[in-house]
Amino acid sequence: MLGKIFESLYVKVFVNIVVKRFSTVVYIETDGKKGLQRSAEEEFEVLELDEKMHDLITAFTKESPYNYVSVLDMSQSQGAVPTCKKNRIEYYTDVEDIEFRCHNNAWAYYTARENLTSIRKKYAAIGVDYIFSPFSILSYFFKDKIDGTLAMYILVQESFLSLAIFENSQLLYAHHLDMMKKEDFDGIHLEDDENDGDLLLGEDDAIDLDDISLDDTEPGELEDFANIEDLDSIEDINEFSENQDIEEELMESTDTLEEADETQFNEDYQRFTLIQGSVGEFYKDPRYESRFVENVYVADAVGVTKEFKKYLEEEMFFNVYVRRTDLALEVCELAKEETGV
Amino acid sequence: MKYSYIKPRKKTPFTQEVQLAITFFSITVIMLASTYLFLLYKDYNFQKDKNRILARQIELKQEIADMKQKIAFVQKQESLGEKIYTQNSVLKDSIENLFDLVPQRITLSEAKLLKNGLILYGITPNKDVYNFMLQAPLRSIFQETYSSFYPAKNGWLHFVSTNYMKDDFSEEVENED
Amino acid sequence: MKINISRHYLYILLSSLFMLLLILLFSFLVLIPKGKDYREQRTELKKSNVKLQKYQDYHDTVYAKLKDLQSKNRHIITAFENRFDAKKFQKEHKNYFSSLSLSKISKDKDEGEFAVYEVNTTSRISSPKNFYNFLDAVNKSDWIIGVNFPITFKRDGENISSSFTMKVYCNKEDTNATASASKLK
Repeated sequence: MLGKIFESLYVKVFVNIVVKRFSTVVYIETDGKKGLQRSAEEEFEVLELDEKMHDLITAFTKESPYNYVSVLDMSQSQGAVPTCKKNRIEYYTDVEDIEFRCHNNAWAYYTARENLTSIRKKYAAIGVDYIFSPFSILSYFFKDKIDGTLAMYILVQESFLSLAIFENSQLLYAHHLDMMKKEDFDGIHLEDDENDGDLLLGEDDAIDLDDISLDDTEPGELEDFANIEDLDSIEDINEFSENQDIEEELMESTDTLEEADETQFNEDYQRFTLIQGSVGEFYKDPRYESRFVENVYVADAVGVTKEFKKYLEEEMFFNVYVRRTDLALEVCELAKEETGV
Repeated sequence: MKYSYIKPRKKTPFTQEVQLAITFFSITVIMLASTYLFLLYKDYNFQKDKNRILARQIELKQEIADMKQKIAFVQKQESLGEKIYTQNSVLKDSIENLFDLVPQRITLSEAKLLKNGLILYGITPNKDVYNFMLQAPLRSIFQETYSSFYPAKNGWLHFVSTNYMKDDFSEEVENED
Repeated sequence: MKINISRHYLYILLSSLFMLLLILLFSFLVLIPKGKDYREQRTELKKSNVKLQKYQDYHDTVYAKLKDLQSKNRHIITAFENRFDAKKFQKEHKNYFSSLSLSKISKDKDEGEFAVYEVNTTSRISSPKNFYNFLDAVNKSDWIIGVNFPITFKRDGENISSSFTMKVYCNKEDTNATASASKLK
């Protein structure tokens, strides 16, 4: 009780650290009783805690002893599983040396223990209060959508993709994809000339229409085309299914996706292939309750291009809705939620 | 923890600086408080001692008064006792003197010693002896002397000598010596 | 130029100043007067002690004087205390007499703080010398006795019969006197 009184005398300082591929984003917020007082966001070209970062952070933390340092877990060896029980988790992943935490008694997020210790060690100079899993961020960010019908949610970061499929607040499948890791990446790369060959028809492979004779084809095949006449009568097919999210679409129309340039294009394609592979895994793997995914909500923390959306929509027939977000701010929101502010 | 892997560090306003300040002030306050308590205690002690001294003073005063009373009493006893003792020894001396006064030839048969007088009964061979040897000294001591005679069987005279003096007999005889 | 102090340090500073103020106030308003008071009381106590010592010394001298008096006059004091016992007297002094008899004891007028009893005595002595000795002895007896007039000597054959009055002095019989008498012991 005495603690509460003391707490009310001080402002709360939230320091949020998100590590990108070659830099670290630090977002600091000072919240008083009347809400936000001060904030600062800076990007440092280091992956560790350097002097300038330290100075910025201490400039804020010395304001109040009630400061909370939150770090987003960006390690490769992490994920989420649809169960909370340890013996069930073994089913999905190796439980040796991992820390898992239960979320709402429905699903669990996990990471390797050494990830936590390395984060703690890295920021030992300022101390760490919270370490968040990207899946927690994802579920919090889309908390208005998660308890609805089946949909896939993707958190897109600079070098990671966190993918989760939820239905009625229940996690069905989750995958944390590293864009640098070779195992995740088994998709097609545009620059690969070998694959180009598949698309282009060579002379030898060309089908000579003259050679086709009715005798070569089996009767059954032609009958498939019996209903061709119907094609003319069919009205314009509504390409998208009934599960279209109107609200999301309306919200989205204000955000314009960027035009692609060369490197972004590659990255987005890479992302797309990773997602494709992961979804394929979801469908194939008997461990997961497979259902057809129609809606995809993307939490865009990096700035994906129109192409990315186009790929997903056209290649995989998803309804894609993109929400832009600043990851560091989201971490801050989660930290505030955790603290009870 | 709802979302975080780890629990946050303990948050307390009592940082190192605060603890230091608190320690410093507590020590100071404790020292001041103990000094104050010491002074209070001493104050109480002083009061007690003062009262004790006062009571003792009164006691002593009373004892001194009592003792003085006793001293006076003993002094009275002493003076009276001494007086009586001297009175007795003076008496003894005077009686001794008296009997020494009586010459050989005169024999006393009775002597009555009174406060302011002396009556002697005796036998004397003759008047002259009596007058010379007894009457004369007696006259010098006593203011009034009377003598009466009556003859005795063997030719001697019985006499009765009555002597009075104004003051105390014993005192006069003492002066004689 | 605005100086920026974090709220935390501001709190610390303010509370320290407040505590300091309290301490100073307490020291000057309470502690120092109390200290002065203490010193005053201490000197006062010393003075009282000195005074008491003086009283004590005086008391001791008076006491010494009393004891001295009492020891010097022990015989007289006890003699005043003793109740006259005719039989005892007779026993003690019969040596001086061939015979000794005491008549009734009657109370006489008080002499100051002392009661006086009169005893008429008749005796027979062989020679006046015995009487002298008796008079010496009576001063050393257990009572304060004054031999008084009238004294008569009468030749009676070989002996002299004498009669005299003895006045016995002793402490008055009331409670105060007996209380002080017992204290004297």
